[in-house]
Amino acid sequence: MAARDPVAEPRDDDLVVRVAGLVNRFGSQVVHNGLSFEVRRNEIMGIVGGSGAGKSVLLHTILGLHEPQAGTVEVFGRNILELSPAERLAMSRACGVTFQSGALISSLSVAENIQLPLREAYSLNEDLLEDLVQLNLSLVGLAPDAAEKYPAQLSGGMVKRAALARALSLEPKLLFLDEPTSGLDPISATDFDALLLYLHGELKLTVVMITHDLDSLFRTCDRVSVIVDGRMVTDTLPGILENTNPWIREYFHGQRARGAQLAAAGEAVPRAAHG
Amino acid sequence: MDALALQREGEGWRIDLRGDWSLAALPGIDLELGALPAAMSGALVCDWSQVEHPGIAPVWALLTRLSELGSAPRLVVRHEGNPPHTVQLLQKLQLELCTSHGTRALAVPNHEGFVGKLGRWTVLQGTEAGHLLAFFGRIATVLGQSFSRPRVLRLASIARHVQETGVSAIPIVSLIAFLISVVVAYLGAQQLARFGATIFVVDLVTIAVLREMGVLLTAIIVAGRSGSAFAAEIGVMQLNEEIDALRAMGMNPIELLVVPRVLGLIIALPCLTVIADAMGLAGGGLLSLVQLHIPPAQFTIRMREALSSTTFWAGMVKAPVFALLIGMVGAYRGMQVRDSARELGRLTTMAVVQSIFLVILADAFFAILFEQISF
Repeated sequence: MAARDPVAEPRDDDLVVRVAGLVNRFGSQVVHNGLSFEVRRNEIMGIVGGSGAGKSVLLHTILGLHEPQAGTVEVFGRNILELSPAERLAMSRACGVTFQSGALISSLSVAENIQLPLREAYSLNEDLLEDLVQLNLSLVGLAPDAAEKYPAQLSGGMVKRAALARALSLEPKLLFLDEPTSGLDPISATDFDALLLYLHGELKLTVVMITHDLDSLFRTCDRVSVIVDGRMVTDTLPGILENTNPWIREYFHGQRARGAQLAAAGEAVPRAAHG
Repeated sequence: MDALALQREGEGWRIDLRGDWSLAALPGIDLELGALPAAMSGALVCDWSQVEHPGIAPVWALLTRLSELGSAPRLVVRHEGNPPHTVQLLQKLQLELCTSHGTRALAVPNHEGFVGKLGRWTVLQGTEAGHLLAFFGRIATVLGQSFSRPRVLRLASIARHVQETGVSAIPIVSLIAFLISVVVAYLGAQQLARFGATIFVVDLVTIAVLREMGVLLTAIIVAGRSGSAFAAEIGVMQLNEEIDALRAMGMNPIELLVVPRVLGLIIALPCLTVIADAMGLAGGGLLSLVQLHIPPAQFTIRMREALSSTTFWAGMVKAPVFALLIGMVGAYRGMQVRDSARELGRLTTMAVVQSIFLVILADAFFAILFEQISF
């Protein structure tokens, strides 16, 4: 039973993802050089880093899509590099992923995209599948008539939400988001942040989010990990703002960052007043 | 294995929910929910105290089923025994969904008879033909400009396409031309042997290969290799908005992408045809030597007698026309790709099928034309 369901009996209740001593090289280019990274149960972890710092490679490694040169990667307490095919399947069902551009299957409607993993995993009848599409659409705040649309007919924000609906359809406990707010207007991005916080609270999800959107980072993340020089610096938001590494200082104290911090601080005041 | 047990409780009902209520158990749960009696009214208590791993979807299925059952006489549902936190959320979502459902308009079924479909098809084919003609016009415009501005011809790009569509196709074209002509010579020899006229195999091979088979086989292979490649390359560029980007930067995608491909093919296909002709004659010669014991010297003499001055050119003159058709249809279908990966596949297939069809149609026209002018 434990072999079939990696979520049911985690060995370490606190850590959902544990990466240690990770090394990734492409030719002479060293992307990760002994990187360590941990995600706790029920937190929203933000990953930031410069372009080419290896954020997506890290995500692909954790998902088992890329084999590292060295290091261990544990998800739900199990080494993902040593899983049997059956365990790997169970693991991929326990993790939901949205990719940067949505990666909805372009020849299938939104409803069919959401049904796709469900159909593969379980034998459900058509009425029930339709009900579940409505469930997932309303979870991510899409109108019921979005179901019949094709990805090309959706706006950028709707694509991100539909991708999230597909990722949620197998009820994962761990959700990976690759730049969920990139390419969205500020209103849609703010809505998406709110949606993420709402789902995180309601569904008790653990979320790992790669993002360049500082507003989103300040609003949603419990902790932040920064990839610098092939290694990871993880801290709470106030902690990371105090960090003395020049790159991290530049990232979080540049022109753009100050505006985002002000906005987040401004928002916190009325929230506290009402709360 | 029962996930739920229904029983009467005073005036109302009580459902004891038990065991595994995760997503994996949903098929079984759905069956049991379907078996609930249709007529229930009054109060209903759902007891969650014995449920393990409650998932979202099974809870949703239960709530949906209960709202269906309780629609006519009102069913008042109460959840007891530490229900999962998602129950509240899902109840709220369901209420929102019910209120929005009223606004969902049903599509009016569209009955159109055979005549309507025929009409629609005709109009579609008419506009398609118009678009293809316009596409040809745009290619011709660029070629026209090239007289005053030779720079628009982009020689490097043309050379690349000659390499890709021509040079790299030499092995497969040679092999197929050789093998097919061996087969034709073999079958011809069997038939002609009955009349004691096996020497005419040489005439058969020479005329068939030079006039028809060399160029036709080459065109069909190239349509499969390069027509599909043109459609797929340009189609993916269309999907990635690369074509729009070119247009936005003031560049003409026809000049940049289509003309080099078409011109490259117009150069490559005649050259491939010459190679296919040579390989075809070699194949016929080899079979004559092995099967009919006609020595190469005699084969050559007989071949010269069979040739008229136009035989070779009757094949060659068709090659550029076939190349134009293949290149144009491939590029045109690629330009039509929109939105999805399936479209890309559909239009690539269409490009190959239509270019082969057009090549054979054009070949038939040439046959009639050459007959009329005794070429």
